[in-house]
Amino acid sequence: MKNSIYTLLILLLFSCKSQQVSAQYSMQNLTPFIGTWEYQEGNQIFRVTIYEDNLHLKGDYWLIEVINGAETILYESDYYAPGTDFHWGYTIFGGSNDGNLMGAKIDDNSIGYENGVASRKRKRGSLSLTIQQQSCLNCPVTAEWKVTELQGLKITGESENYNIPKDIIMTKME
Amino acid sequence: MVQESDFTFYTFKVYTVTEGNEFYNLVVKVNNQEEIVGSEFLEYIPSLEWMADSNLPFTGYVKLIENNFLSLDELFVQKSTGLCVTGAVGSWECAAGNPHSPSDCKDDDTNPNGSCDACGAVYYIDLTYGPCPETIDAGDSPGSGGFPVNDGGGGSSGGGGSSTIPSRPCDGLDDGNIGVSDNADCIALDEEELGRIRECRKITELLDDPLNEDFKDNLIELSSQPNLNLDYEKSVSIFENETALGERQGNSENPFVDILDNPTNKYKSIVHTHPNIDGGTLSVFSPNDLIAIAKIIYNNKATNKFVAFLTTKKGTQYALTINNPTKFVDFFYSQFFDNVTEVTSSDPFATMENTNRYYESKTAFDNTFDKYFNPKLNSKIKKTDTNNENVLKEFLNYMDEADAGFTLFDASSTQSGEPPFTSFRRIRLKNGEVERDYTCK
Repeated sequence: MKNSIYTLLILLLFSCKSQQVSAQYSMQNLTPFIGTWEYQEGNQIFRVTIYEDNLHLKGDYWLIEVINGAETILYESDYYAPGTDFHWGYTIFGGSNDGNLMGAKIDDNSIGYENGVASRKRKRGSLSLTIQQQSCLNCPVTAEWKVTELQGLKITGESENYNIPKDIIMTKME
Repeated sequence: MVQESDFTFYTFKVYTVTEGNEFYNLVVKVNNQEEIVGSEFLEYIPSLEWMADSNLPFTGYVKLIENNFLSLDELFVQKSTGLCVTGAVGSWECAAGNPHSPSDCKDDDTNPNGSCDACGAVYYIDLTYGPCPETIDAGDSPGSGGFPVNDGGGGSSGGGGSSTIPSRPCDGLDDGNIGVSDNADCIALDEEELGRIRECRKITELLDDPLNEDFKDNLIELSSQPNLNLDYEKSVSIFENETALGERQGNSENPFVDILDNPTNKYKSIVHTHPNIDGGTLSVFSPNDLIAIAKIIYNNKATNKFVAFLTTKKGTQYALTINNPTKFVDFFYSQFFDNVTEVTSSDPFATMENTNRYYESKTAFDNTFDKYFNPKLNSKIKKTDTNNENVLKEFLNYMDEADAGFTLFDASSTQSGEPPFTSFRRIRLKNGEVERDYTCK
């Protein structure tokens, strides 16, 4: 008896999740934004730190109250779940193509911070940080900070407004 | 096997990965000249009663699917020699060439970080042909016949069978010691082929259902110029066990419209607009659209046949289905929590520790968002881009890179006078270009 075997191939393609992280920006264009930026109004300071990670720009922010030179943190973006070592992580993620304009996604996770961690709300936005032309040689570097809405479906109950500043001039501190 | 007047029908069971209890048969029609004159796939969605006792006559839902997957000439070339299929055996081979299923990675196909490096796997089924017996149990009922595959993890479902199971692996094709024919052929049945039909049917069943006629009318109405010229978005939702539609609208010049993430009944479908807002709107789904849908699915508030529709001022219409809810939720997981305590709360759908899931999602989502959607930089998908095909191509690149378990269909008109949302063509990238490779029937 002569048998023939035919093979029916059933291709079940189980793709592994892509974890490609492509570097999109040059270090040269990222460098001008790296550091600490501040905006002060009255005795409150809105402080932002920007750092480079894997050729992207990431950042965190704080709202700080200053009384008699002593700083008290009112809120911080990279906050912890009470009693755990789990924290939010960075809230700013983006880059720059030219060293003048930084574009990033930003999470405002400070909405409702006054009522405790479990009451905090989040609102995503688009951040631009545009370095301004310096008017004098030794003037501090300043940049315009703008936060705008992202397009899309929005879950009912999501905040209409941001808690973080939307349009300010920030000064580079270091 | 069933004999009916001048034709003989041979039924074969098809083993494949399924989402639910459905299973498939391949039916081949042969005339009295022993010529194959047709073939069809039948999909069976059994009732709960039949699932409880598969010895009963089949009850449930049966759907006919035209066979354009298999070349019958290749499959049944042996018919003329008088040979019959006498058995089958299945085996996995991962992309690294090792004999195991994708869920069972071995040390020799992992990368230095320990995760699976073999992005793909092939499931082989050997059909053994031999002389036809006098009587054949060809499996012409869902619960019997066919040729069961001893795979050790093939993910198949449906009825069983009692045929002999040879133990010969597929790679025996190259082994001269086991008497394999030198000129044996191979043909391919892609799981994707069945998958795209499954996704298609979510759309066609929704829109063919007379109960959903009002919702279907809304798809057309929202695509009219008066609606797309508005400076605010609109959405219409349809829910399980509800006749009333959920209609919502956004605020003037604000590029969003809100939807409930925890309604009483599950969403069957949502349509929303990207209208004429100053500065332009995207011609494809936005990341926020996808995040909102993921939140609904995470909340278990979408049916498993959920469809999202989009109609835009730029003249595009799309339908989106979720082919893998776990992947979909995992990819957007980090984006739909308000605060860290929500992440650390218990999660019945967790696929890994919540915090790891959060950080993995955050990395994957943010990297792809920055590459494709960062609105402040010259990202690949821009609301100012009026080249819809270019935007679509980049969106498909985004889908490929995200690997987030959703399928996209072009729902625009295919000819003059035809309303949108009449024809649905599956869209994917092929060799880096947009391909509308399959029209839903």
